[in-house]
Amino acid sequence: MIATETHEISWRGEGQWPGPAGRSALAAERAVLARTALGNCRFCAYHCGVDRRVGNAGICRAGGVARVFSAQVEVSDELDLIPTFAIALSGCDLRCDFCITGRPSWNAQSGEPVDTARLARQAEEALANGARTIMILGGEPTIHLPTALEIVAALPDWARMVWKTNAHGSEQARELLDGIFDVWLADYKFGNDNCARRLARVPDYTTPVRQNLVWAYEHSELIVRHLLMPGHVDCCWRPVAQWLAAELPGVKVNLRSGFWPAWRSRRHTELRGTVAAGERERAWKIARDCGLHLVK
Amino acid sequence: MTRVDLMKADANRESDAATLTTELLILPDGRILAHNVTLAFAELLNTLNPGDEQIAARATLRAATHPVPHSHERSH
Repeated sequence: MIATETHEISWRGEGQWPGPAGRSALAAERAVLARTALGNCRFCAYHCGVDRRVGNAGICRAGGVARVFSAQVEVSDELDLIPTFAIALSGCDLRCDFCITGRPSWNAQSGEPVDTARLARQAEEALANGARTIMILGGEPTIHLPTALEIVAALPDWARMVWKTNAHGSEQARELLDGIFDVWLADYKFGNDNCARRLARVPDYTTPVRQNLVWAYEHSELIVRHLLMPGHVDCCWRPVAQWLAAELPGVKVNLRSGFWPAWRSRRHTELRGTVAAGERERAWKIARDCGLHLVK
Repeated sequence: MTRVDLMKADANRESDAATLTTELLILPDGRILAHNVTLAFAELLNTLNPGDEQIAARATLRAATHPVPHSHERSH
């Protein structure tokens, strides 16, 4: 659904409140607010509060300039979304040792500074050639909210926009993103805080992620992804599946079973290989028992 | 090659702006994992293993879509 009507936005930051607008105009107005918010950055659940406009970096180590490390048409994602023109921004607030794009995701200085006009031209060309969606991802795009909004502002209102996120954003981020993206493609990676702390250095994972998923479920089309990891069917997938079934009934779920022991997976004994056939079968059974709406 | 030569080589690759990025992992049991799959790669994988439904569904998208040149090179 493309948001073209006026939106009530409960923003309590600086600047004038935007009036009625189409999605691109709304994104442009939000981008200005987001740029100002960089001065006291609280886009993600860490709430670092640093001034990124002057180079100070928080946990994500990102400054005020967003960089892109990949922009191409891809078909890996959910069938309903592909082909998608995927714009991948460098840097992330999490430190998942198994990250499939570890190098650029952990380094916000990877890639090239974003050229919004050029990306918009490429995206429109992709749409003209049959791409069904435009996807903004990372790393984690939440840490680059001003740039992400500027990109959306440069695109036609009719483009179907996808926000691919680790769901670790803040309430401020949700307010800025409200009504902007048609689809939220959100990860629910860990079923408990212990695994999140050990594998991604996140001290408080579950609470903010669930808040974001509930919000996205109510405000957008939501697809939840869970990457099945070897040795983590019972501690992670089972509680994730049970929570989704109970709290987000009917939500689309993509259970990803092609775990790739990438980046620094070898730090963890159980992540040095792929998911065994038996684990995949147990995971699928859990999904069926929970009555999840699985998508591919 | 010295670092300067490498940088020159990268600069020369600007003309190769159409290079797209997909990664492939072939497992000892014959399974193939791929991410950032482009249309061209989906077609290749479909040729190698036409029985894979996931890939087949993606490989058939070529008919309506043309690739967009990848013009963002990674820095070192």
